[in-house]
Amino acid sequence: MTLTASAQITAPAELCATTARLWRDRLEREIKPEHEEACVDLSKTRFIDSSGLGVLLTLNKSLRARGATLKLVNPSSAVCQLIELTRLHRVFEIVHY
Amino acid sequence: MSLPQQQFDGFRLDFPATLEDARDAVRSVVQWLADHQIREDECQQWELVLAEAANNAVIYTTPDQAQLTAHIEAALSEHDIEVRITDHTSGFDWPEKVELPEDDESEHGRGIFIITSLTDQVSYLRGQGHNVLCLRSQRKSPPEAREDTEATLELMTAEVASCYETLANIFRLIADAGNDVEPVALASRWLEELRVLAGADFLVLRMAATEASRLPILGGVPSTIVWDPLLDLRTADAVETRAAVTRQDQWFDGGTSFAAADPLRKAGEHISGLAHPLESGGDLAGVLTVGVFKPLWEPSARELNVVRSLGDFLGALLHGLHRRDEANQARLMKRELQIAADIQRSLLPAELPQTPFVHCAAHLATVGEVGGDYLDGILLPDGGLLFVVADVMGKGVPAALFATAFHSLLHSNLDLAARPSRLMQRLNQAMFAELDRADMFITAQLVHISADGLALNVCGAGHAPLLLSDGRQIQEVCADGPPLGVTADAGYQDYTISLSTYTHVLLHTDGLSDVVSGGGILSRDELHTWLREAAAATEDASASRDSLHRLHRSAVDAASQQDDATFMIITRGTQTLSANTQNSLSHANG
Repeated sequence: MTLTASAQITAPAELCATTARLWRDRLEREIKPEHEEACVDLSKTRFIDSSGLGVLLTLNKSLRARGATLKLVNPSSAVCQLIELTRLHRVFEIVHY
Repeated sequence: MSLPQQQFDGFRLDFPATLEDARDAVRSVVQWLADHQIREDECQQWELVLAEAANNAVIYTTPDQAQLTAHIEAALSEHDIEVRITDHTSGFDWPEKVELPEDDESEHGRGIFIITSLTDQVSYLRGQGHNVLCLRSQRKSPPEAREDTEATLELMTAEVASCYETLANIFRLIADAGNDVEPVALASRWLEELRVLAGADFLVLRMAATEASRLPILGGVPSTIVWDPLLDLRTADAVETRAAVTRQDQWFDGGTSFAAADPLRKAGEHISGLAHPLESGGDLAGVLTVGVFKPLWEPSARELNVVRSLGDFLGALLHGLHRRDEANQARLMKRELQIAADIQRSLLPAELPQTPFVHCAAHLATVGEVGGDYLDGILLPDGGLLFVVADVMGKGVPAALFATAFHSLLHSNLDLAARPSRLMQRLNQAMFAELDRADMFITAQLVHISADGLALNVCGAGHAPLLLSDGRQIQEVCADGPPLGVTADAGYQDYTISLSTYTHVLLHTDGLSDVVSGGGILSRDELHTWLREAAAATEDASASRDSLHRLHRSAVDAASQQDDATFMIITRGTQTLSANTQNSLSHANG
């Protein structure tokens, strides 16, 4: 069995314009080049806006560029609805455990 | 960030144009929606929409606009939620077609799509440094009727009790009014009752008077306050005036700025209460003011109900009593005028005297029930004639009583008839004291004609001039003496005129030809013209009398005035008496 190097990051309660910059800085710190995937735990995130989605898209793009993947883990139904509304469910890999 | 202002179903908030403050503002709105029973999923949608909208309102801020605040306001109606966000940035162009980015992985360009997707109606008004985004969505669930059964029952019970109490008091008031009490006493008693029932400190009741622009006071409690007796609705900028003029309740409290002339200032500086207009049959019946000696009066629904209901009923009742008193007064007045008219009629001669040389006919005005005009014609023992026309100032019983006194004195001093000036002096001396005390006066004209009909002596006391005509010319003899009752020792003078050249003599009161010309009454010129033509046409006094009456009648009819002319025509001729002289005295009212 091959173990995949994975970064586990828990997203904040609000992923929005006011927290986007801090969140982006944190992702840069915690996701290392050796990580083949990044799992962002959204279970505690009650609110995401378009700026928050933008941060996730930037992360997704940078990971894909180096062959790694992004997984959004356990998003709330409200967050899922937003992702579906903006048709990003075609972009993000969403997993529920 | 300023504190949110919440009034009725609206929310308003100014916030600095930063992302953090915008986020806080959105949280406040969403919390306000939640507080107003908006469902959680709706609140979540609005939070997302408003976050996108508020971000747009601040991200276009330039450094020189940093001090400007944005503004968010929300309103709830039964069916809709509406939010407006106003900013003072240069704004942006709203896309004609709102779509997601072509590139699914684009990091930008979803905010407006989210806004339009989650709201029913969006409009963006972009102006010069002033942009407004209006968002509206239908409420997903209608507002739930918040029914607190216990509280509702409590309110209903209080209302029923209040109605019962008011009704019971109205029955007592009806019974009280049925005892034929005087309105002021009734008002005083019930204002005291109302003071207790309403938990008030003072009440003042003003009732409409005959003069619509004034509201005289009918009662006030406590009696220690000396209220202004009259409220002038034309000039006073007062709380009670506003209630009377607008016909709407006027509340006042410690924050009310009372005008200097406001009568309520008499109750003190720190007062509060209500000025309630009273109506009866659509008319303003009065104003009831209820208040307390403290800056804020918070009456319970029961107290307010009692004040309004009982106050309205008391007002209507007093208004009815006032109307009844007015009707009684009018009946008394009518009866008094009938008495005066009877007195006046009793003083008139049944027929005016006629001699072979002198004919006479007269017309007596009767304005309304009775006037102050008087006339007489007396055949003297020596065959001479005394003719009298007088006008007692005023109407009604006082004027009729003075006419009676004048008549009695005249007939008891006929020994002076050949010297009208002496007779006039005697009349003035006898009546001066009474006339002066009553502040009245009498104008009169006495004309004596010798038995052969050739000499005429006339004396006037403030009366209209005597007119004579031969059919070609007019002679006007002005009276010089003052009216009776003006000067105690007034002197009078006789004017002697030879009647041989004149065929017509006219005595009259002001009602026939006043100094006013063109007002419907005959002008001086019109009267002169008529007299000249009448003197040329006939020697028949009754015919001339009828002719002048028709002329005057047409003038007063044209001007819609009353017939208030009294006049006497004396003709001198050689013809025998006509049949008309049997009807020598006519009356305006038949």
